Amino acid sequence: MVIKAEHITMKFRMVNDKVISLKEYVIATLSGKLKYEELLVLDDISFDIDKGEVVGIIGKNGAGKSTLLKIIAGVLKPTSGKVTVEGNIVPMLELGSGFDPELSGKENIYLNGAILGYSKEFLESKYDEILEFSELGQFIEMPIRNYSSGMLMRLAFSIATVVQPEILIVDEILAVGDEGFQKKSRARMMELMGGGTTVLFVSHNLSQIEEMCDRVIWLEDHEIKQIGDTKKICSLYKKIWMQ
Amino acid sequence: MKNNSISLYIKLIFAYAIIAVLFYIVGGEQLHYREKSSAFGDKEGVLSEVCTGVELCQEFVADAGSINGISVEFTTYGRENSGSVFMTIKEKDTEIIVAQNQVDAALLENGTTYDWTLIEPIENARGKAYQLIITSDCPWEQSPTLYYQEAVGAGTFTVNGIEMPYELYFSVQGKERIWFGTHYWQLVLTVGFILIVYMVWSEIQRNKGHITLITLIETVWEKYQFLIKQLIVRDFKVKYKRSVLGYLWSFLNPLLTMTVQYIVFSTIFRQGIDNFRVYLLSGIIMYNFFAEAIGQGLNAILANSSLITKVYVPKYIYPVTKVVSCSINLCISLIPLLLVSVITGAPITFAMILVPYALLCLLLFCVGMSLALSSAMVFFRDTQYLWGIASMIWMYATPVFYPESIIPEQFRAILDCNPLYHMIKFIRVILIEGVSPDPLEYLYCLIAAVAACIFGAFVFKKTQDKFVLYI
Repeated sequence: MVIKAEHITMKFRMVNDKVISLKEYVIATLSGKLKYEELLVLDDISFDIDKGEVVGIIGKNGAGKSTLLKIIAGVLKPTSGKVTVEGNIVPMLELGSGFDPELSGKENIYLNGAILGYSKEFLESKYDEILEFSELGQFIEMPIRNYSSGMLMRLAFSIATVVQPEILIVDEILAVGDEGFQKKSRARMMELMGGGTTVLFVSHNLSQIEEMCDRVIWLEDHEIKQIGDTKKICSLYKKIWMQ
Repeated sequence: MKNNSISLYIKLIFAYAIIAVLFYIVGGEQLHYREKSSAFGDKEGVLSEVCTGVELCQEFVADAGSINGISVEFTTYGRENSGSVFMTIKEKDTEIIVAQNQVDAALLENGTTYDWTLIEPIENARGKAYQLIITSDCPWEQSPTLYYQEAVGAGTFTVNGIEMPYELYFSVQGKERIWFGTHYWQLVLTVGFILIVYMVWSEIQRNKGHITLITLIETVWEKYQFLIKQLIVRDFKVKYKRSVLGYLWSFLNPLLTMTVQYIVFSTIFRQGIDNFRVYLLSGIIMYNFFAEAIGQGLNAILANSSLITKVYVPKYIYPVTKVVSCSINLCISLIPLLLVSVITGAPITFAMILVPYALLCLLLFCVGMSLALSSAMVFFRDTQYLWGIASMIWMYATPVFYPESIIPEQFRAILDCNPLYHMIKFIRVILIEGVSPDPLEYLYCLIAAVAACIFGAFVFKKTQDKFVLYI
């Protein structure tokens, strides 16, 4: 078992309005307006994922898919329950977080790589590959505040996918850049996900899920509605969706 | 892993032994004695001329272990005098002369303190009564005289055998043998022993699978050292990016601040401070680091919120690296401090290698404060504005640009509780007087640093799981 989730429950304590200053807090407390509302996002979720499995997570918006991914990635701590993960995780939740606009592309490769948990030796050996894949050429020495958004995404994607992680967490398959690069990046993703890596993957694109996944977790109303064989669940899901 | 940690322990013990010996050498006399001087009283007026035939006799009781010097203030009436003034210290009971000094009256300067440093200090003086006898062979109208002060109960003062209602304006410099110096090696061995016991304990805990502080630091460093280095380098590189002078600002900034404050305050505060430029600059550098590091550190969690919600990295890395990257700046600004010390003729001694101790304590203190404030900042955004005010109050409460002697006695306790004051004083003693600070100062700095770290770590640990929900 690579990922073992046991009875994960996640509750957010929602304040009427996000109180972020002392003054607001004092006023709200004094006037008795500070009410908390418990918002249940995940309710008693348990599942196991084996090594090499590609598992898709489907469900409506707000079903708790992204929260679940964040809990597995270790960013969020569940209110109760436990997640055990063996192996290094590369979360592809949002590309390019941690880029510093003042630094050059090259410096950002090292910074972003370090944040994603890559080692120095690894980055040095893969530097050329990242540069080539991103198609940035001589722009790599420029501060990235001068980059276009497409260039930024290409760089971020190249850094994030250079690694061969043991566990990959993907929130929607990323296709960035112009058409040529989109094709290339999609191919790269498929290659990553097909290469014996354990993948946990959220998507609204059912045909993509059907094509890639061994198993599917269907989240609805903060619980697991169905878990199991891809084809079966997808057809059920489609049926409900069509109505 | 096991061999690794054992070699780390051996290195640590070895480093500890070297530091202990080096410290003993560099610390010098200050580790063994503490200076204890009786203060001057309130100056009241001028005695009549001290010429031939006049004998002043001031009694006093030594309150320190030894007497090392006497200070008085002469006045010359602004004229050329001739002859000599004789100063003698007698033991009151036995009338034995214990110290003698002859002062050439022609060389005395009007209205300056005259310090007589005893060639042979009077040992075992505590509690004994002494007489300071001043006579002279100067002719009438060519002799200097001395000031007197309101009686503070030092002892009777007689002029030619007649008791006066006031006392001589004088101060006694003494030295006290201190416990730390006499028990230094026992202390070193005890701490070393505790260190070894802790290491053994930590190793046993590790084998049991428990985490101790040493093993925690070791694993975090092993796993995240690349990230830590990257974040520090990033902060440092970005700081002066796009400015023409770049890193030179780390150099220029304290120098320019010093120049401005020197011009503004030199006439008001200069008196009573030996080397006002070094005094100012050392205060400015330490305070600037303190304000900058905490100002940056307290924003560290919010500034990295996009990372914290996406990638798992131990969150304390962010405030800690911010403070550490500010310390690079501090290290650069030590260069102008050294330059100004050399130019203004401050003593360049081996004691200077003790400066990093105060800097390290300040760094730890800032780390602790940043941890606490950065987590407070997540829940209350007002923290940054409150800190802005607090740091300003802190600056005025710390003798950065004014001498500590202007603080009234009743507020002295506030100063003694101010860790920043102790750390600044620490490096000022080293740079201006060229000697090691009092051993108690080491303790104060260490306590402040460790206490801040424990407090910060506690607050951070308690709240860090909730960060994601609030940023």
